[in-house]
Amino acid sequence: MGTRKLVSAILALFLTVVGTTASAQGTREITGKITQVGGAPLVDANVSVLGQALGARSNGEGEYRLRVPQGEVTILVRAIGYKRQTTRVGASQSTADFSLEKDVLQLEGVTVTGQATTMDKRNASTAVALVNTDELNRVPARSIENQLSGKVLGARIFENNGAPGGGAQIQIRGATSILGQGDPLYVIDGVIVSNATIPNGLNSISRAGGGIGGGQDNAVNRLADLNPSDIESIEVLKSAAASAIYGSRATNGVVVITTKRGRSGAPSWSVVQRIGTAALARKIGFRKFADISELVPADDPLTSGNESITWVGNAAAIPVAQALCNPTCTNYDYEQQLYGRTDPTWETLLSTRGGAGNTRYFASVSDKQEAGIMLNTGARRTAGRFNLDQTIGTKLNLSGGLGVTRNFLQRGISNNNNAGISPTYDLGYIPHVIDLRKRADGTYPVNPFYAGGSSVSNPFANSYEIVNDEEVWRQTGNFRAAYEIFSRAQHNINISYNGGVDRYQQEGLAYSPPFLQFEPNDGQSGTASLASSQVFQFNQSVNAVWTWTPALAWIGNLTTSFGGTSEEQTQRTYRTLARGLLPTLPVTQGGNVTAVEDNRQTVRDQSLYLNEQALFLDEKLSVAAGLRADRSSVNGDREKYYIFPKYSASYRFTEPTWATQYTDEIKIRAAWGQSGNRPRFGDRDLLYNNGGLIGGLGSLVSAGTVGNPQIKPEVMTETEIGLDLSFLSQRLNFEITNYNRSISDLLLTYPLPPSSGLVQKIINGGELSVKGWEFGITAVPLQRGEFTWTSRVNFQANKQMVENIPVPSFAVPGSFGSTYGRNRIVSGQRSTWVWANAPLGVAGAVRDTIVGDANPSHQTQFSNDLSWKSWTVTTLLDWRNGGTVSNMTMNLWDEGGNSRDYNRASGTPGVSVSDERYAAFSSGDSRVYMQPGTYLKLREVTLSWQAPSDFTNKFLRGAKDLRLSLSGRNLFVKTDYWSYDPEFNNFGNTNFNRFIDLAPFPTSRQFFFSVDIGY
Amino acid sequence: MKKGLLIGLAAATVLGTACSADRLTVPNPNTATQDAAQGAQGALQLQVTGIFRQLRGGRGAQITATARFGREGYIYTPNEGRNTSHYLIGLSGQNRLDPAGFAVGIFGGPYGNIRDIFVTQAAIAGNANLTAAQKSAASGALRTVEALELLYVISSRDTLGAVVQLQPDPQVLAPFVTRDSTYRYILNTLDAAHAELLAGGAAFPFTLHSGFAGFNTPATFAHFNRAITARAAAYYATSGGGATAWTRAAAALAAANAGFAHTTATSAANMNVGVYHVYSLSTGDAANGIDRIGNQDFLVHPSYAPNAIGTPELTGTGAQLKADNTPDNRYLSKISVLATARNAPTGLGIPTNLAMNVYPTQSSSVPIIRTEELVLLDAEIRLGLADAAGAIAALNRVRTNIGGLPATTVTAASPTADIITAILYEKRFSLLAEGHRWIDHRRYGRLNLLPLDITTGVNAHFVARVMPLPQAECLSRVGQTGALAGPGC
Repeated sequence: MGTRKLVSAILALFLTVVGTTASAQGTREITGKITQVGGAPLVDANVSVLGQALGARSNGEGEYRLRVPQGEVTILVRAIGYKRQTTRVGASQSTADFSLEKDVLQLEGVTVTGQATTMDKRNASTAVALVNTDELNRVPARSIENQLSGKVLGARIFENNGAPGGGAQIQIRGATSILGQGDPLYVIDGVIVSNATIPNGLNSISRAGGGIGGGQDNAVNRLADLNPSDIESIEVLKSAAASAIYGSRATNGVVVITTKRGRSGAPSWSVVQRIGTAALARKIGFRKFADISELVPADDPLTSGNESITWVGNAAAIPVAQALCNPTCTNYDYEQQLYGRTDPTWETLLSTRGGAGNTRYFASVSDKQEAGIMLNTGARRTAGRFNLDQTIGTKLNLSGGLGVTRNFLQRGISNNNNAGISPTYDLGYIPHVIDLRKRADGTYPVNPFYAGGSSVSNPFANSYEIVNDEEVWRQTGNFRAAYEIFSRAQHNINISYNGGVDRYQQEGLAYSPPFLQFEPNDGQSGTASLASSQVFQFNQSVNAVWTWTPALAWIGNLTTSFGGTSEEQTQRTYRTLARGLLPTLPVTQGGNVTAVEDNRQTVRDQSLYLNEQALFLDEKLSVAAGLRADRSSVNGDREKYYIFPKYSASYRFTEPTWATQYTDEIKIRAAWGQSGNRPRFGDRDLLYNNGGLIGGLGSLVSAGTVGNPQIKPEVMTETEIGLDLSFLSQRLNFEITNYNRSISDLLLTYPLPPSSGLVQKIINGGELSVKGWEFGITAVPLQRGEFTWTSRVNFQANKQMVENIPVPSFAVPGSFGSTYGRNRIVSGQRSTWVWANAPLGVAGAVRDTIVGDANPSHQTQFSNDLSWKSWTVTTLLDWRNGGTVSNMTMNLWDEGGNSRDYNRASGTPGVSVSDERYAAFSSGDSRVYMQPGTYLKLREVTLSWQAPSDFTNKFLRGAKDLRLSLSGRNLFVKTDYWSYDPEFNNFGNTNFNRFIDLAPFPTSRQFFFSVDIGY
Repeated sequence: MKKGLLIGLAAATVLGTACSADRLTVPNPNTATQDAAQGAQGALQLQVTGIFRQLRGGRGAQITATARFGREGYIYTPNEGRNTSHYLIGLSGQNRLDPAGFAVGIFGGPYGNIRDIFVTQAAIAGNANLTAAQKSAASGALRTVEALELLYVISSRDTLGAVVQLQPDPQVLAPFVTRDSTYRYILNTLDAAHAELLAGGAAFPFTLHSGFAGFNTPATFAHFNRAITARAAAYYATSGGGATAWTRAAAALAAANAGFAHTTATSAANMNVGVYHVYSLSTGDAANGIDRIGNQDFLVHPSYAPNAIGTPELTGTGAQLKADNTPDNRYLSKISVLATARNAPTGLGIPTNLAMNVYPTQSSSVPIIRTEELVLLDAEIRLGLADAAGAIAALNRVRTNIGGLPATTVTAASPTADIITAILYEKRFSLLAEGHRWIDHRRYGRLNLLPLDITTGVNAHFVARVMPLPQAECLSRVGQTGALAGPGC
């Protein structure tokens, strides 16, 4: 059946039904003024008749004018950051004034329940995670994920490493997929945006893996392009019942981002100038050599053949070492020299918002220049945004937004490599006795400490001379038209169209000049690669929403919505790689072009949905149900709709008889829902690969992975129950949520026996589960006079299991072998266990066995805000308890004989702790490097001062507002972890195996001083 | 109301258009689907080239793995100790290799190619445009490659046996058969392929790459087939096949002579006649990868130095230097002496100042089989058939003409073991880095004579007898019994 006909028929039927039940009535006008407690007018507060969608907004003086039906009505006033207020207005009354209280604990707000519907947070039947602009923007960060860190109950947020520009992962309620998409879906003002991580081509120089670009390139995920200051609020849809509205792309949760919009009233301007710096937070430290006897052992290393130090095998290095250590060695702090940069970071933000008549606007421009702590690294993001809301007549609302961003990143070199260029990697091997810094004449000393010059290089030369640049130009746009077809006292029907476009071009240049020490190794000096990606995403939806507010005591209102969506995502990536370059030329032309990659993918999805939400019994009972049907070009059966249902309900006990004097409100909620995760592009195809050339002839070879024409989406079923408690006039609130999710029809690769000649086949099957708890406490422990202390505690813990899999157990792809630890998917075991080599029993056979759990026993955050008069101090502490990390950085440093504890004696005479670790590792016991990742981080701290208005008036003529703040990120980290940061991951954003620490860009402390001026 | 309805219908129309199911038909532009590829013009050529391309793909790893096991050389990658430890040390103290480690190659690759050979053979059988002779020729060539791939598998797994017949459904396990059955399957396949080639008319229905120059018609490819048969039969003879296998090897070698002329070859040019893998630096092609320039970590065992001490093969076979006291010509041409020695990472091995120069450039071809090997196979086969004098004559032909050395001191009256030593000495230099020494030492029960660089401690070396099955193979056979269980890990 034609979808077009189906939609039209439903719409026509719907309009007919509603049309016949509604009856026309007259209207009247109510006016009034809205102020905050204390008297200042509240601009842009929303005034509406309770239960109706549309309302009016207060102007610059806080005044409003609202058209209401005849008879007694209940008026609701809401404003962001303030507690709501309702008042009954008698039939003859024509004015009503309101005075709103500040909402310090953020109990207010609305939650997204559909493509075109929302619900008050207090009525929500699922757990709600909302972060508003103030909370988000307390302390600047490299990218938005870091600013969310510790603020979203149920989300684990990891920074991939310390390189400038971003790169972080958000994982909501555990890993839900092994091979499928692991990132949440990001929706900004209705635009589904790309958060792809597209490698740039550093791999062609580092040779960490195959291909021109690779997963170890330390590329950023593209959320890095977002200017956090433009954001009004972020809502994270966690449970399947909440995210089911996004169908087969929603198992990892949905992050709904709303940018700032105009407010009626005179234009206001905001100027923020920040200056900051960053400093290496922790050093690994290094082994100090006293004299030549430590550097070159007395026995001739060339004949003993059993030396544990790599570089002494190089006979040529011995005389150099002897010259350097005569009579004593000078030890150089390479970490300080490479990562000790403290250049300033600048950020300028300018924004304006206002509105007159039926037009409201918000515009912003920003420029942020971040200096990396490593030599020759940095990031610069320049962005502009314009949002416009226009009401035409009384029924048509148009809104749109445009954003343009340029993001330029120089992230330097980090992570794994096989070419001897990743600095942290190299420092593990080079004895720190030679000054390798750039000389005054621009040349670099040759690093002598390896034989033959193969894969040996000077990390300073590499840092200065290797280019790893990435530039992105990005445009996003959204358009929304909402039309009120029908509005009466009891019925309101809106239809809306929502369209969004996100496109960007990412260009990556990697260049290693021919003169670098390691370059001649393959006989072709110089490496250059060019990577160019075009990403285009388009989504649109058509929605109809009918709100029925019957004049019945027990029914508040019923909202029915239905509609459809259509989405398209296209990514085209071209890369070329050349080796053997002409001198000084960084372009691929002129060299031997040894590889060309051209990959194009288009995915299209379509869906239909029907949602119902209702409030009963004086808004105490809230019930919601919905269905979404999805089909996609990546499914085996492209025409088949997959159905994702949801049901949820909550009840608020507002006057509990047994504890009236202590409890304000008890809400119980329960939700059940399903969401999906569609297959990857190409999973449905049985493929032949390009086999490349031989003797000038082209070839086709079977792909090792066999596609599956029956492939379908993974399905997550989640039950969530929760309890929200409020005490002491809402000064103490508890949120308790238990969730139980099960993901079935997993996208898996059935490992075929190698003797079959194929590697794997893609199938659906098996089941993962995540069971977890989330506790939140928000409190105002002290509020006396002008002093307020607000406190928040978030606690989250979960257990992630592989319930069953229809395939033999396997190691999750995208990691190293059993020597280095990785997650394995084994029926009946936790999916987060870390498996690695370890001997069974004393001196037993080495087996690949469980050596830890990457999942921490819990992650808990404490945030505290203290305000006194015009001073505010906020802090955010993040405590992760446990979670195994594979410390491969330490492994490198031990292998190189350069660990800081190299000279510390172990229990065995003559053997240092470093040697002992490495010997254990070499004999097949990897446990020595599987270390707990417990930390306590002071993620954020700010001290800000809001200047009194007379001060502002005196020093800044015309300014209304002046705030000065000092803030810091990661100022304090307490951990026993040996290398830089247990949060980092060599492979960036990954579903599993997110614990491989291998020569990362080190972590830094960041400091900022900000001046915010409002006009 | 009316206006609203209109807007609603307009919106529905927009969405309806966007929701047409046709829009969900998105082709995959990156790789051909199998159905599309099978029917395409030129598909046969592409598929056949893919088979030779895959045959080449495994050769470098076959050479570097066997070179390390057979102590021809090392891969001393500075930052990757596993390129040394996983071959020379294995699981520390256990004298065995790690099934999850590096040294599990020469398995998935050959079977992958055999899978493609089966797929292509089915396509050939159903191709109405080919004549019976063309089909016969094509099948003969592909089955020769199949047998060669299996020979690589069984010569690395030996007594573990192998899978010889693939199942159409890759999820269905195929049984393991014994070494004996595998060799018989290989030899029978080669014989059947030979018959098909002889019935293959004048030309193949596809072009073979330039490495097959001189062997690129069904009749001349048959010589290549016989040469491989001679090698396989000689392997079989020393792996349980006995005298019948030697006879079979002799017959095959005799038939190969028409293409290789090994019975009369004396010059280096004669000795280099053969079938090769070709490489280039062109985009899309592969470089040699084990050449002196592209892989500078590929080094030669110090025991290859002239008059190195303690190498059993150096005793009793005659002078190791030429009459003018300079080293063997093969040493001079195939090995570069480095100014500074290179060592293994982190005490995993001993230093060496010899670098592999068998393949000097990134475009150097790698032999699949060439005349010099056939001459030495001739020596082996003659000795196997009790013609010691003939064996010594053959080895001397290589030794004096190619090595430039005086004739061996071994005589027909010497003990057989000494004559084998003399043959292995010539193979050691003549076929350096061509994937033989480890296999030969195992075939003649001499793995214990290979030098161990480190004999004590956690890094003590050992000589692997066979390569383990890859862990994935064992895991997929867990819970199976009998032939389906396989030899395990």
